[in-house]
Amino acid sequence: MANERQKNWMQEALDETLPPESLHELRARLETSPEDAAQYERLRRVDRLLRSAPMERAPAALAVSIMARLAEAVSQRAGGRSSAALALTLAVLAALLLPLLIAFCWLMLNTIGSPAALGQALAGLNALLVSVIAAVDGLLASAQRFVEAYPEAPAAALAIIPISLTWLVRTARKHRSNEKQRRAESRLADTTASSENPTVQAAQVRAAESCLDGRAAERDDL
Amino acid sequence: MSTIDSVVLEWVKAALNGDQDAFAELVYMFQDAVYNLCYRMLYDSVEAEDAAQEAFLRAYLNLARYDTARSFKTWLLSIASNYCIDRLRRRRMKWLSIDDPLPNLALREDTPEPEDVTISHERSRAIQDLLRQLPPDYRAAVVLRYWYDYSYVEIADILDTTESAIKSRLFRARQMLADKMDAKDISGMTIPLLENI
Repeated sequence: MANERQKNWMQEALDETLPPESLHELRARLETSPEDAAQYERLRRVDRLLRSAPMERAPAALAVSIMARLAEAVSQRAGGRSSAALALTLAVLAALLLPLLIAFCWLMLNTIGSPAALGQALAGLNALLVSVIAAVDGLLASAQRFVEAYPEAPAAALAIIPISLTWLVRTARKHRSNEKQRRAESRLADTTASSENPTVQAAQVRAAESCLDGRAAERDDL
Repeated sequence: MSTIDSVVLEWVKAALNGDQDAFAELVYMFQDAVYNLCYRMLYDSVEAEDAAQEAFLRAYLNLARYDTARSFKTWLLSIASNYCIDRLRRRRMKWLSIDDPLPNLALREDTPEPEDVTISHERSRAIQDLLRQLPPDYRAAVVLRYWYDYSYVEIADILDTTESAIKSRLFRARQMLADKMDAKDISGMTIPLLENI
């Protein structure tokens, strides 16, 4: 029975990494031990079977699928980058507005600290509230007169509300769908112009077409 | 550096600058190698296609991390093999039986002769049946050794382990496969053994 070292030699012989002197020693061993020779034969059968295995070729459409997936990933990344840019812009804006906010707070605290200034501020606020209330009162009086003159107007107004809401929602959806289609069409046009590689073209056209199909389905739903 | 390597390096640099045409060239060049690895690892043509796509996508997204001193093919295959090993481990965690039905092994349109195809197909299936019984790490070592002719050191580099670990995996894998072959008696698929060592 082969020991561990000889078993390793058998394996290394199969991988053609066994030094010549060890190979010679292994040969001698196999000639004298039928059991070891049988063991080596079993391993060699495996080795031969694996060496004879064919290489599987990639499906014809694999490259196109890869490039389509890649184009999608790249556009998603670009979307992520624009969100990051928006967040950065907002952060900068907030940082710029901070001194203004601090100045406003300082003014407010000063006003509250001085009784005369506080009285003035309260009087101004009071006057503003009075004028707002008077304006609302005037509007209500006009509305009351209008309803007295045309009693059917409230019912008509109530009927218009759901109709106008539905119209608004449909218009917004249509606008969004048109915008997406316009972007997809422009991407499709860019594709043929920007890339000379047929795989990239096919992948990008496929991505853009699937986008257009999606938009068409959305429009149908509408 | 060989001419092919320098061309590949040019494509990698161009792809890093956002040139998708250059990356498409890399896909064309290595798609068979990546697909075969995924197919041998996963045993299913649909899964292999998906894994190959994922491997290329990961390669593209991590292209900046590629060390140009290494072979691009080796780097790509290391992404694919590690992804397949993870996928096999996840599959095992989902308690999928190893006796699930045979995958789609339909013949392709560009196959040469029906008889050759049948023999090749049968042999391929017999090998796949054996391979799928190996643990993922062993399977990866066997595939990289026999289909790509990589040395122990290169396989260790791809699978991020040591040379002795790869030797051990290969030796044990061959022993396991020999035992399975005895059990299944598929010697009819082997090539007649004519040569001596």
